[in-house]
Amino acid sequence: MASALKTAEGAIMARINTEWASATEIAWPGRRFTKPDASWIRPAVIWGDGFMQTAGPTNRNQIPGVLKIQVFGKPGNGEGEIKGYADSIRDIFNRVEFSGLRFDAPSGPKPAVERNDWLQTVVDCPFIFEEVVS
Amino acid sequence: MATLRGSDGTLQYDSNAVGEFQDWELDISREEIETTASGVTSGKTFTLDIPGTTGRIRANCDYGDTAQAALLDQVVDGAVPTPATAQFRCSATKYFSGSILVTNARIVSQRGPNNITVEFSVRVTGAVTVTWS
Repeated sequence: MASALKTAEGAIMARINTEWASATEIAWPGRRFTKPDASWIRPAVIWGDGFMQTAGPTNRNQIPGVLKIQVFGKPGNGEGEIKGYADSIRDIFNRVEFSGLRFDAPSGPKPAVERNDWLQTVVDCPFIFEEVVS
Repeated sequence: MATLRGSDGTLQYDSNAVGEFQDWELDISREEIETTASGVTSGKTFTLDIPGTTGRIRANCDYGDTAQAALLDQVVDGAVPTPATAQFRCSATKYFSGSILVTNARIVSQRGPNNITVEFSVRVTGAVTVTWS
């Protein structure tokens, strides 16, 4: 089987697209994005070092990764809104399994910080992707 | 130069490849027997007992796999086990083989997304033979 990390990453983004619906605007990786006048999120997948999980005849590899989702909100209104969005993100990826991806328990949101006129927090959703080498 | 890699290692049990296989170990040893004659003061002498062999096999647990089921049945089933030949393979043509009994099966389910694993401890009954072609 050819490497399918791009497909796996696509499946993650597709799940965000479906489950997040129109909750906020989404700044997709590599796409031009005009910041709205309301809260928005920015997802990114960070892959870790892969390793051989089984030898022949099954030949599985595992590649761990972390889905990082930044949540941005307008400062001055408290942290309630972005923390609420962080909870919603955790619900979408909490221990779910799809497309060869197994998500573990998501982190709690990082402390909210104000930067460049946005209040932001981050939720980390760790996962393992499993591929079979033919 | 040796070019054998762990990733090429496999395990055959009773002519079936162990599915979801991770790794194996073989520990072949011979105990020391002292042969120092009475009165000798210049140094102890020894010989070796006949070889005895133990081993370990690790895999993602899958009772649906024919070879794993046969290994698990050796300890799950209370009947007197019938040993079968295992080939601890370094490659398709280079391996150590012997008739094995499973003395322990340790099944581990860890928290998190990792696979549930099984680790078999085995005892080779009889000789280990080496095939290296």
